[in-house]
Amino acid sequence: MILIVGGGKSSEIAAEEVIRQGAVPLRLVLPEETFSFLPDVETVKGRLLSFTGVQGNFQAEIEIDREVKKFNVGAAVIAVDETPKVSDTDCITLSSILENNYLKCSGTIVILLDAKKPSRASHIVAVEKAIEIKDNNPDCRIYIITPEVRTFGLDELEYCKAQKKGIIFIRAEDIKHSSGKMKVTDSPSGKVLDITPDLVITDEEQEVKNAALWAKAFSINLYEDGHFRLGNVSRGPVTSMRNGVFLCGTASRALLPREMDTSARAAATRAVTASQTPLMLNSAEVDEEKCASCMTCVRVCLFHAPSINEKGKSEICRDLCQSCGLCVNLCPASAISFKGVSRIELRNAVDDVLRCLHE
Amino acid sequence: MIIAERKPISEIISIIGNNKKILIAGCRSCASVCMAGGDREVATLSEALGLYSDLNSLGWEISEISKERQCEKEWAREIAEEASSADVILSLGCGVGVQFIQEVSGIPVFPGLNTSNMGGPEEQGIYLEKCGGCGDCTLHLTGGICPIARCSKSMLNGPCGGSQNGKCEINPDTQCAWDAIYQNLKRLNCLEMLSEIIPPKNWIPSRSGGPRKIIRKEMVLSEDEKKIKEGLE
Amino acid sequence: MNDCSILIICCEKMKETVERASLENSAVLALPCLGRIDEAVILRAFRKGADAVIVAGCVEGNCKYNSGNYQARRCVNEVRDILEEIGISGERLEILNLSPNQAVDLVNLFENMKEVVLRLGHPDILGAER
Repeated sequence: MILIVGGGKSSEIAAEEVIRQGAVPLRLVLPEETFSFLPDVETVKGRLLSFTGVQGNFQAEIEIDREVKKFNVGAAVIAVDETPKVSDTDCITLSSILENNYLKCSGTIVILLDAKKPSRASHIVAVEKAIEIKDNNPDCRIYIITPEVRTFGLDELEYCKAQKKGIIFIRAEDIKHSSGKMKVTDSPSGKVLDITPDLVITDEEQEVKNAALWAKAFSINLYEDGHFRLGNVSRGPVTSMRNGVFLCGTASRALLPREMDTSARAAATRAVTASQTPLMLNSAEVDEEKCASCMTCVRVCLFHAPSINEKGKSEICRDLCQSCGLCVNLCPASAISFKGVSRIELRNAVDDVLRCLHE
Repeated sequence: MIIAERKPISEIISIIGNNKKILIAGCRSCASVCMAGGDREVATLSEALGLYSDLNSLGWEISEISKERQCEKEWAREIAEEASSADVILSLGCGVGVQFIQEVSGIPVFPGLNTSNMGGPEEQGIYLEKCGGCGDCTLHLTGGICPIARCSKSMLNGPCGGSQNGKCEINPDTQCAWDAIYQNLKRLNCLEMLSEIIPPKNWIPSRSGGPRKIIRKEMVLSEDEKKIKEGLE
Repeated sequence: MNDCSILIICCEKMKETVERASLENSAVLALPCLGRIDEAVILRAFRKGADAVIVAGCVEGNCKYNSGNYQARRCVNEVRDILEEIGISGERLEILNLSPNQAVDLVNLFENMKEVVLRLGHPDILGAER
């Protein structure tokens, strides 16, 4: 069984892909979260209390209706999509024009694309929508104001089309907007333009909701901007920092809709493969007698494996240890050992290779 | 905890002088936690001195030992016993440890560390002085920040004119303790405490009164008990 | 002075690249990750007669465990200081951030190291069992 977290578009694609590959998805959404109904997918509303075990053999404890249920899962896919942050301005937002019909608007329309952490799709959505409005009402004037037009690949054709239809793009960093009037400095020419818009549409800052909560439950890491941190590139795509837990959709970074689809399928595929290849790594071990409880291992391990236990000594969680040996190296009391790379073993190894070289 | 750092290797080498058999003694308490004198640093120093000796054909014989704390007579004795065949003990404990071992050891005990202060890790690898050990704590008056240890002038009423943008004039990396006190009192909603002048403090319990001795009467064994314990008489 | 012995310490990921380069008079010590490399290991190598040591790990930011090559660099810098203090040139120790298909970088560095050793000579290790 593959655990899929999240109720958005990516979770649907991932679940569908898991089924296509012959495995069973279990979708988990938070009790307060809205989600789409999928007839073939078991979806539970609950909270993840713990996620223990290793790739191929995880145990998930989920609280459903105040009852704790245990599930054995082979791998997990985190498919928590970005959602627009609730904005404090009363401007109409890009996502709201997608949901509602603004085709009939007229006069001067400004689409302002300067959000701090925008969705990667916001520019192409804005361009497409502008064309639609213009087609519907050729008399309206549409300005798209942004520091940089970010339409990628074939989307450049849409950008070109929009320009041909008379939509005006202004590249500007300096935008002042107050009481119905806008002062915009066109970056290339330095000219200041005055615009009196009838309607302003803005793009929105995106966030991954409850990312910290999920990250804690899965013992994985976040980026500073609140996305889930991808595992190092050498682990391959769509990995998290924990073996057997994969990230898809906009959980880890801003993506275009078609990229979301690809990444959800990739994450599902890797999860199915991972669930069939149980991983058994050696874990570093602590000699409690020697441990000085100095917190060095706790601070240096990026995988959250060491912690200080009730006895006040370091304990390394076997499920999370990735056997890199960093704590073995840095432990000031040499209390942590790991098969093959203890201080003495390493010293002997150096002696041996150099003896061979000199013989 | 006590913060210390290793002396430069060149200084350690000159301290060792003509001695040949060296026991490097680590301490698994403070010195270990501040990454100055635990097993790891003992191993590094042992290899470094070994290399120096090989390089200059000095024929040094270096052995290693680490104990829970050097600042206890019991463990100091164990170190001294281990050193029976050595010429010198090189202690990677704090200054207290060196003295404890020397008290029970018949061979010279040399310091391998410079003991610096009482503080703690700000983050992995960075240690800050936090307590001046003045013997008359006023932290309740200063927002939980010690002006004795953390103000360059140990001012009880600050800041002085050298405080610029939260930094101390002695070094742009040094936080102004009185700026920190202000920020902390503000956070705790106790800014009015700053209007109280803190009177000159009692310096008798500090080093100004000479070496200090603290006695917990209820913990001190009676002469009779001591004799029984040590098998005397 | 014709043979100089150079120890290459690398991580599992680089082991194949390093071994395939089959550099003469070199020995290879592979660790699970360079995060394990400590000062004592490198110092020990010099003590046991290595004329130079190359620490070869992945490109910074490309360590599977995220911290290995940063730790290796910290360690190498520390050991260089120690070596200088006890009278061995820090030039004898070098760290290389390598991608597995860039064996040529390793070969170039190895040749440079050989020249360094030729210029500086063997460290005069008499006590060691050479």
